[in-house]
Amino acid sequence: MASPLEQFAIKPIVNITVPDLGLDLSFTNSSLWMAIGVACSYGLVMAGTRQRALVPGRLQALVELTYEFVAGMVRENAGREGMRYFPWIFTLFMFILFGNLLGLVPGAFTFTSHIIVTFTLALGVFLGTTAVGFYLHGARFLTFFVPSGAPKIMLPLLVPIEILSYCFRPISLSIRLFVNMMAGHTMLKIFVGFAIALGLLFGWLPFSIIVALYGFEFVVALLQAYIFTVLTCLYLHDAIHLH
Amino acid sequence: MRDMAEDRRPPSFEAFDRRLARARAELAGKGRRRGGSGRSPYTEGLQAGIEVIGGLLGGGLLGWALDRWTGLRPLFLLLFLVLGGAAGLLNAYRHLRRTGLVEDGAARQEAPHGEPVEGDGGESARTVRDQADRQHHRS
Repeated sequence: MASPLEQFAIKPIVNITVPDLGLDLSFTNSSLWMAIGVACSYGLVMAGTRQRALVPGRLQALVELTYEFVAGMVRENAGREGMRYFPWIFTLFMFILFGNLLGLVPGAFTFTSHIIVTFTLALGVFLGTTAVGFYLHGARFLTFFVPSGAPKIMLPLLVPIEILSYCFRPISLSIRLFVNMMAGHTMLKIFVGFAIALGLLFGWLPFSIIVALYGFEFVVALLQAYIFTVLTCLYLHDAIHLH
Repeated sequence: MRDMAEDRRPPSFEAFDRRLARARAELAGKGRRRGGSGRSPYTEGLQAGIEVIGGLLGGGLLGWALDRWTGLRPLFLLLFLVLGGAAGLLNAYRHLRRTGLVEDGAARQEAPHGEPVEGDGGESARTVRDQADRQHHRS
């Protein structure tokens, strides 16, 4: 029986190496599914906005619903000024959403189940929001790390903790998405293994659990994409409004 | 007959735009709810746990890397484990307070003449909304 962790193996499809720099830039199954995710989200939005009907059809309604959902999320959590960064948030949301959902296609590779992928996304969020903060407030952004109302004598201790807690945001952001996706898919594989091992006689029991888990995973896929985006909006709110 | 047909006519675009503008203004007038609402306490608690682990992990990694770089082996690891844990707890606390699951302790314990109680840590005035909440409590 295959290991339940085998599904996370990275397999190169096209080998590309730069021996001079010791780099392996191979096009892997992970890259392939990222490309499929980008193509799907781009295709969905493009196909949905092609008609520009006053009364939307199904596809257009879906795209408009997604747009309104993300726009509402940005407005609520980052404020009205946050809408300037809406394209970035929307792209992030669609990429993670499709990464999570495409992973549920049997045989597909879930690229959001790799911490290096989620960490890179979170690092992009971290660098982006920090850049926004410095762009909007200049050096005044640094006052964000000085807690207001604290006694002066405590500042040498509090400021490093504030800076560290700010810098650790991408860590918790990426751990959350990666853990949820990896745990869910591992669990699915384990129950699939049970179903096969128990055969026709008792296999229906783990199989029924798989059905329930699949539904659950579907919710997790949507929820985790949502949470990642909401937290991004909140960080953006901090960068725009300072405190 | 003609009256009915007129009733059924869809409202004009101008009227619709007016209604839309009014609805949007009403929405904008409402206080922004910050993050989290609509998710279960279990989910929020899990996130708080991840914040603590993230802090410890980040602090540990940073300390370990600094140790390797400077060669002062246990010094930075110990220092940043403590600082990282504190930062993680701070993140977890802020997350829970933002979601409204943890009440703002300062609001209830605040001294009568309005001075912040000790141990408040100074982060009580993190968000405008929290400040507004406290005003509300006090009045």
